[in-house]
Amino acid sequence: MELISGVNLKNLMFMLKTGLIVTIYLSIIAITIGTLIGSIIGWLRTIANEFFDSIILIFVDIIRSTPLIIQLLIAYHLPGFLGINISTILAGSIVIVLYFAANCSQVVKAGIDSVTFNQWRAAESLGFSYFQQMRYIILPQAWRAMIPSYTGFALGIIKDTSLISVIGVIELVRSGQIIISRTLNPLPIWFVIGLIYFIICWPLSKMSRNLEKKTQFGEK
Amino acid sequence: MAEKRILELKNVNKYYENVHVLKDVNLTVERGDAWAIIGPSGSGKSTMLYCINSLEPIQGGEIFFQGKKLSEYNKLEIHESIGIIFQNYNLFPHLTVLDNITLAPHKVKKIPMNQCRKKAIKLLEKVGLAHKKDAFPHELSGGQAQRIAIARSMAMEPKIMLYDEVTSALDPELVQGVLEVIRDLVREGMTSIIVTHEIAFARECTDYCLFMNDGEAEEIGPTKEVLNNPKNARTKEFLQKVL
Repeated sequence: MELISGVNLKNLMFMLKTGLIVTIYLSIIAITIGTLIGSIIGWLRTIANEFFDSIILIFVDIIRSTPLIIQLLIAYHLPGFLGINISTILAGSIVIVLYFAANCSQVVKAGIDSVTFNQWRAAESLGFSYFQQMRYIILPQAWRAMIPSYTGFALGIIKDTSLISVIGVIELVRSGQIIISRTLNPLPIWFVIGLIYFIICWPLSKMSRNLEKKTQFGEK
Repeated sequence: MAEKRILELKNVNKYYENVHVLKDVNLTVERGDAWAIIGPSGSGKSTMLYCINSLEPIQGGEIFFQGKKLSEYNKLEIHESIGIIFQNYNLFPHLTVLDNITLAPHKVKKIPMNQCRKKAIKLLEKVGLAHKKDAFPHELSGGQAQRIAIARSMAMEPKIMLYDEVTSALDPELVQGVLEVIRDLVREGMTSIIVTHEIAFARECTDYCLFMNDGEAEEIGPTKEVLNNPKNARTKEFLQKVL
């Protein structure tokens, strides 16, 4: 290829592949573990008393009200300051997972709250236990309210994993920068990397739209 | 005699925060009786139903259901054996009519699905809506939704049915269809407690009447006596306003 003449193509591809793997790894753990933690927190908030809820909310608000990039930088410097020895990528991963969990918890809480009290009461009056009410009556309705904003946050976190490059972790964007520093030809590389993100994100966004349609039961 | 009494309220007191909503309410309901509960808005009628169904806790007195204190039952048992119909139907919007009716018997009572379906169809025929079995709640009129809600509750084979102003959210022309369903159930001997503003319906269809005012059971008696010859001044005043 002429665009990158004089540079070892194989090395560059390897670089890109490594970056992609890190991006995918970060996205997957953020979304899986983050969703799990976020759902538990969101659900706890619907049954917590005021005091307990306000404590959860402090953590959620701190995470949601500071830039992810700052959280990553703090996570990078904090372990050393405290004398803890953990790898940069682990520290970064934890931050990204918690960031997604905090946002996810709000989505789950808002989704459950969107189902009216009357639905709970009707379900309760028919003899359903709390968990049956949740499973058969509340969540199927809450789901619908959650899907669009949940997808938004999921797509957001996939793209935001690139921020971990500020603490020296080589993911997709950082690998692009490194490649460009060798080839000195930025445009095609950024196009390729943009395309890779698109290939990852677009099916998710499409899937969520289909899911939204499927779970629709029609309201006036 | 004792086993005829299905429900008994003894000096029941209920507070919401600091508001005293039920004040020493006493009531004895025998099997097969139909009761009308009348009274101005905010007099505690609906709250009383919620307390009978254990949807709301009481702070004083006792409620006995089939001779046993409500507090000695598992709450779920009470919900299973006492049906309640709400003003706003509260059907489950994500389920079809049939699924609305079969869900509770199948999941709560663990009755096999094909049996639940058969039962549901029978109930739908009874309320005249068998053709709506695959419809979703948003495709129903208010009157139809309320009849489905009654069928859904009946599918649990309750011992008592409670009706909480079930026609007050309906357009006038839809009221009769719902009242007919209730009337049929009453005639079949279903013990019923009906909170209603439909005085004519109460007169025609219930045996006993309780007039509530400001959380107190002001007047209790056979429906005809209470409605035709009220002894209490407040009952008189209320009836004059609504009749």
